[in-house]
Amino acid sequence: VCLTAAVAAVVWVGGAAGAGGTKQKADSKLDPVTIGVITVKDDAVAQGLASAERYANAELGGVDKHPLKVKTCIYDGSPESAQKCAQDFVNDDSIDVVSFGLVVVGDSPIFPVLEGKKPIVGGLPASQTAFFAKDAYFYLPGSPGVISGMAVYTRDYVKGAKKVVAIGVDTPEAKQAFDFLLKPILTKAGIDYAYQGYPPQGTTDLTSTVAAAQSQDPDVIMVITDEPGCVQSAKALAQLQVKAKVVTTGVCTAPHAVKAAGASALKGWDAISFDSNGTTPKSKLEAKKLLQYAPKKKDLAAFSGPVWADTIALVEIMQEIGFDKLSPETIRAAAKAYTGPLPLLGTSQQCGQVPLFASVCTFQVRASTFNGKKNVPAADNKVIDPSSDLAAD
Amino acid sequence: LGSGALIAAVGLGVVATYRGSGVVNFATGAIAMYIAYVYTYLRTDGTLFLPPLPNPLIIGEGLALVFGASWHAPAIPTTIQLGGPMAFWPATLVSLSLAAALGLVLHLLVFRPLRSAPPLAKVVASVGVLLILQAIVVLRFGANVGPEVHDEVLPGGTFGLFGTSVPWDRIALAVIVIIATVALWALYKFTRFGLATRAAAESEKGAVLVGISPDFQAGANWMLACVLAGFVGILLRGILPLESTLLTLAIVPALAAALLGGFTSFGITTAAALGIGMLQSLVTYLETQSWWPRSGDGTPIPGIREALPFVLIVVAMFLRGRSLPVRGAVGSGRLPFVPLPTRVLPGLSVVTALVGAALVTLDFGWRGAITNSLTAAVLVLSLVVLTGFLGQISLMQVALAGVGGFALSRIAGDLGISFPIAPLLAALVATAFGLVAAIPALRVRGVNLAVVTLAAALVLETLVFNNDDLSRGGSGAQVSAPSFLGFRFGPNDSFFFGGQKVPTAGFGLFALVVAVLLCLLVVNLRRSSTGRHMLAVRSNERAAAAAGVSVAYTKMLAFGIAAFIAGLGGSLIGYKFGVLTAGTFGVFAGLVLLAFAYLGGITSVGGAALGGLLATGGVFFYAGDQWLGIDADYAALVGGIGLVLTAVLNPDGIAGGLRTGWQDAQRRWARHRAETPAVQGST
Repeated sequence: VCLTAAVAAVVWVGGAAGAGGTKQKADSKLDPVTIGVITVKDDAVAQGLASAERYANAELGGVDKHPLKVKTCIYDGSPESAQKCAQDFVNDDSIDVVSFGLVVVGDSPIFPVLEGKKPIVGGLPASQTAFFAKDAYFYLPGSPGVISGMAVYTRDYVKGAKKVVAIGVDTPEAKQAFDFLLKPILTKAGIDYAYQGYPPQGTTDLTSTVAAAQSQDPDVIMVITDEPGCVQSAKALAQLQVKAKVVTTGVCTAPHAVKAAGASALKGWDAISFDSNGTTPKSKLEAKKLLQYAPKKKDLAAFSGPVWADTIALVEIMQEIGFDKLSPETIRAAAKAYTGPLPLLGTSQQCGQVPLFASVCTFQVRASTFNGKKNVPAADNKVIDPSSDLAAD
Repeated sequence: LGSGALIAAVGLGVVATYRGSGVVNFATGAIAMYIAYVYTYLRTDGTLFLPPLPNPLIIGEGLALVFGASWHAPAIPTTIQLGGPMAFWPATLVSLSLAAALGLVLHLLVFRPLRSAPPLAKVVASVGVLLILQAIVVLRFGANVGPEVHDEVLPGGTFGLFGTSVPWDRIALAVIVIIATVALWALYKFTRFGLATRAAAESEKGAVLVGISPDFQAGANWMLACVLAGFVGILLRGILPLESTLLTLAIVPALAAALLGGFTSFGITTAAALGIGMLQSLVTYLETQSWWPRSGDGTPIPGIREALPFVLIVVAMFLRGRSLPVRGAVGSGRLPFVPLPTRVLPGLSVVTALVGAALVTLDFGWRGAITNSLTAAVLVLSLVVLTGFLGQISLMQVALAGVGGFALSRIAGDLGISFPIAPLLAALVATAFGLVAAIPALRVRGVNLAVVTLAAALVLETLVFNNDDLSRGGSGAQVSAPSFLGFRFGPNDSFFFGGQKVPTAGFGLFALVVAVLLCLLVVNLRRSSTGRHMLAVRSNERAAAAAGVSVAYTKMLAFGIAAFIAGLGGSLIGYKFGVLTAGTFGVFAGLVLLAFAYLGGITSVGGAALGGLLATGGVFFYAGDQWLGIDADYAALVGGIGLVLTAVLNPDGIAGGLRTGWQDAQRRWARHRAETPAVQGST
């Protein structure tokens, strides 16, 4: 759950930009190029996918004029339904590649079904099985980028940080992730690190957890959890008047969490999230396209941007290969070699750059501070890239 | 104090319901959650949301299409607008009125018909209500956190105590709960309503004789308990985020507290709940100390905080060894009928052949659904032995399956022991755990045992499955495909028949063989003297003991057999998924399994098969999706409604209903044949 929260640390940027480029329409009479997307039911994901599909066919010419078709398999978070989606796609001869939308729990049976048969390209690495998957290529940093980015941000930008306590759900998966991603970077910088977990199910009051964290006299408290955990942590931290700096993931300062926790409880929190500031002309234009082609603009939200970016990246990859040569093998090879920049988010990609997280192709994140009304850039608006720290460890 | 007060508040609702109607209401937390949603949306935009029921007019659309016409059914409303955002008191009043109405509806439609039903039927019905309420909220609002309401009903700020900050609202909440406890105690002790409720609980027949209506008392208590739960939901809006699981899951510790209070004492329940909350907070603090036991990675051993209070309560229950005070109901509550299987082999052979043929001829979607059903049927078989034959309600069979699955991962992966020894050894590990869990069952029974086994499932999940040193349940325990003499038959391995689309038929056939063998085991158990001993124990432990049956031995044997079957089921799940995580065997999965087992018919092998068909990812829901277009999102809602209807209308489950119908038809046919010659003769 904790990792789920961390990978959900995304910010969608729907900024305006000027249009440009040559539009190429796909020929709807030709056979479509189908990609399979596994996701939980989520309006924002649906809008991102629909927008990408419409944009690719209206302006990018699909794949060699063959229209893009996104086939979505909705799973309910249970391993049974996740496995069924993977089985449906591996059995579907029209699909050469599978992508993830919002896949955060119950995903472990997906990988054994698809491994070696059809590559997973794009999506959020949300679990340890995803991080270590052999036949997957994730262009979003997910937990590895966000959590290690929090450590790098604390080391480089939080002055006087000597002791960090991370609050997260008490599961071995979360603890191991924090041990891999936080501890080495912090301890190497001379910053003490401790982990304060809370039970994974039915925790109704995080006051005692926050009090226990506070009793360790930290300079920085990291809140790495899901949205309910964010809300509870924010309330407990505010109520106990904890003075320590709070560094968290984008999920805690996303509009929905702000609405649920109250802006005052989150004021001053620093959040690490995907690099999505849309700073280049290209990414600004793409942000406009996402907005333009979304069927229901009001449903555009956190995950719309990342799934849009992944889908368009996949289209670019398949365009490079060419329709006639499309196969799981060619897509696998091209996906592995893809260097970006990822559409919309602008992150560079290098799959396998950190051998431990073989499936994660980027670790680039950005920091922002919630000022009580909105998130404003932090860390001098620079990209934070913890990949070298992780590779060194 | 905050956690303890919350647990206590839900626990008080549980006790009030039990005292009034004899129902241990597993849905108390869900009712609090539901009313919290009602209240929140009244406060934020003045809307009263309605359950997402299917639109009956949609049938008209289908009929119009059949006749070549086009007609669009009008949408049924999803909300009722009651003006703009409501103020605190009007919203509270409307919400609590709805809670009272919900209590009355639950009493009239669900629990009054079950008044003289056995505890199992009531447990299952309340689980059905839980599933329905949670499904409604998830379908209507999704899994995201709902909006904040800034009521500040409880005082804010903190005060210093022993060098730490204590929030005032937690103190206030605890004080409110204690006041509610005293008020409820006084209500039941001194008022006519309370005395009448106690009288009805002691003896319904006696109560009727002195002019007390047990039905009225039960209904009023249901309303009171739901209002209490709803008030908890509203009060906690300032502390808890609005989402569908937090309050629902609070039922587990609340049941443990209520159990310690014998489901009758408000005072002991509140004290136990506050104790649980404080003990968990204390452990949270102690975990920061250097002397606290730690796992290999240097972090505190997981699960102690959650498990410790339950272990203490189970030990206390075992030492105390008293059962729940039994209500003096008019009817004693007939347990579901346990048929004696006859002519099993021909029927089983036909079914096996049909399922086998389906696995190799139908497409991969059906193959997957059949395989899921077979796996679930194995788990349900363990409940047939334990609950159907022995009458013990266990909510830990899924957890025991988890023990089997994780043990298989270790035995096959780390020790290199191959199939079929590995799954058998894994099942024996599960058996060992099952036997340990059986020890409390020697002295605790009925709903008490359900709560104890629920606690045991929680302990297994938190202490074992979430501990990577033991199970690797957190990071994913790998389970390699089964292979025998070099032939692999996992779901992703190629097979001779049925095509190569996954899951291939080989694994389905393997699951079929396992299920059939276990069916034969259970059938023979039912026919054997051991089976008869189990039925004797189920019927009356004292009478069974008087007749020379060793109750303790019989119970231990049944628990052991059921755990072995569950362990094999866990191995099947492991082979099916290839990777196991703790979430696969969560506490509520045990509740859902019991529900589907009951729905199918918990006393027979046929019922187990039907329960398997109804399980998550099974044939029933796949057919619903394929043929009727029923969205899988509605599975929980449909399952919950089916469960309540089955508990109320057909306690023997679908298998029992089919059996009765078949027997009726046979009798009618025999009568018809007997009468026909006479009529012909007279003419």
